Amino acid sequence: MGKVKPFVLILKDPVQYLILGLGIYVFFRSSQVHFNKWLLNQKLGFDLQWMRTYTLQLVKFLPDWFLYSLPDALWMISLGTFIYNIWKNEPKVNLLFWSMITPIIAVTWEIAQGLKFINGTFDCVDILFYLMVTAIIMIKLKTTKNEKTT
Amino acid sequence: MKKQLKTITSILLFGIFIFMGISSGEESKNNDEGSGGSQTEEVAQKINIGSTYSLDAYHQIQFKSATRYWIYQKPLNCGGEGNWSQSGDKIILGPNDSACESTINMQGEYSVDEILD
Repeated sequence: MGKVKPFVLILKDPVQYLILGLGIYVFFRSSQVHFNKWLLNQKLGFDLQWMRTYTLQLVKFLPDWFLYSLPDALWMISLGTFIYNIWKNEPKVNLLFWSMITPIIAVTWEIAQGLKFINGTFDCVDILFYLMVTAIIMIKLKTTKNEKTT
Repeated sequence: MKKQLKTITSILLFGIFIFMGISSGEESKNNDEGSGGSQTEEVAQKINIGSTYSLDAYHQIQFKSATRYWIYQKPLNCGGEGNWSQSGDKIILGPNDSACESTINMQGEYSVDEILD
């Protein structure tokens, strides 16, 4: 069992963020979202649809940032935490390199939406949330004590 | 973990997360801004599960769950249950097991406004 523990530690936090983000999608977003379409066609789709009938009634009370920007931020922090947990015992330059790829992908993704290179809607609030997550990652990196330098 | 394995794992993770980003595809934003795709869910938001509505002067309908309805005649007879579903901005009442012909004949397609008014 002792050998399993480190893997559990790698997975625990990022999975929690991911589940939170997916939860917002599943319960509060349109069934036209590709992920929801797929999920609602699975075995538990019937029960989910039943639950969504109730949760969708709350949508009108929820702010846009909660529905649209928070899941993206949770997606980003989940990926960032996965990468951090994988590289935290490596030299700091490696940790920094891999950790910075996540914010770069997220911000590039949003800008590409704004320039109509990919499908989606550009949203300044998304960028704001990405910057907040980037700040969290930077703080985490700064407070990481890593002896390795090479 | 060896460095090579970490690199492969990280690249795989980026791939998986980018795929997730794509599959959470943002046609939904357009829908929610009113371009039409989420009519079904707008219907779901208007119909309160558990509430009773008048279909006409005699028939009352209660949406018992996301899929089942109960219909009866005022004051409380000829009751029957059936399945309901949504299609666009329409509510479709499937056949019900009432013993009364007029209640059985209430199956069919209704607009949300017909039910809510």
